[in-house]
Amino acid sequence: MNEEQFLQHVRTQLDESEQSLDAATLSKLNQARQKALTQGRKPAWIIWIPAATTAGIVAALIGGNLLVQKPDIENNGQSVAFEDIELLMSEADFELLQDMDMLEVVADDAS
Amino acid sequence: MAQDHHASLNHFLASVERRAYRMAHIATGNPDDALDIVQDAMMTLVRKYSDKTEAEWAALFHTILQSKIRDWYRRSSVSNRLRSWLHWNDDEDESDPLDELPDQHTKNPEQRLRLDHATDALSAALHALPLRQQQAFLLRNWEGLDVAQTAQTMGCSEGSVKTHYSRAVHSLRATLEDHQYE
Repeated sequence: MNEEQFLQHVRTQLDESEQSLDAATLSKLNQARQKALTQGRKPAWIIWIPAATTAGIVAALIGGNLLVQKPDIENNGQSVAFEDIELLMSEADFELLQDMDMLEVVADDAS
Repeated sequence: MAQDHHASLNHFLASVERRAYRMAHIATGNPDDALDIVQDAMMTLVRKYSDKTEAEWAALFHTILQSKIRDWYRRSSVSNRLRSWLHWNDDEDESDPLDELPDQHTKNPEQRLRLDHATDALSAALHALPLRQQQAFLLRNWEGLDVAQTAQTMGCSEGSVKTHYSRAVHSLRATLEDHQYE
């Protein structure tokens, strides 16, 4: 067997091993992917704060020209995370912020 | 737009996860570690690079995956050395989960993996390669990356890629010539 035949044989076996993964492994891979897609989209630095003060802090930060990365906004890749502040928000509050139109305005201003 | 982006990212990750898992499994010899590495790589891509174009995702994911594998190897090496330092007087017959970690300097595939047939033999032979040779071989021969792309993914020179790849091919042929490759 020459080298090219050997390498082709290896590729074929590797392809077969990839296609023959068992159902349990495939399920775990699917779970890992879903987890990455869900959790990977959250900002790296968030601090939980009471819901009542969330809007106030956001308004202050916007006034200070700080930018919040909205995961679902197409912003040409320009975003600034909170480097010095850790904000924890409830899931409901975070979803609220995602829906707030002012974040789109801020992101547009920054771009 | 956001939904389409999410769907595209999901589709891309679904297209690479199996091969990524096989590569990580070959490298670590442990299915759980392999899963952790793949999930970690996916998480990093989504968190840091999901705003890149779809055309860039493949190269980014390859680079992240290989970096995670190298990190795992470094941690394993430290663990093995620490274990040796702390337990050098222990009874050698005592089982230790760390014994299952691959040792880059004295790998023996027969001690690490069950060899049942040709695919297992191939996996074991790849697992026994030094990491850089293993990465170069899989990226060049299985992923189909050219020398320049492989060098970028591995973070080394093109000359190094060629050397690692050549040595890997030589080692694998010598190891596998008795396993249905003639």
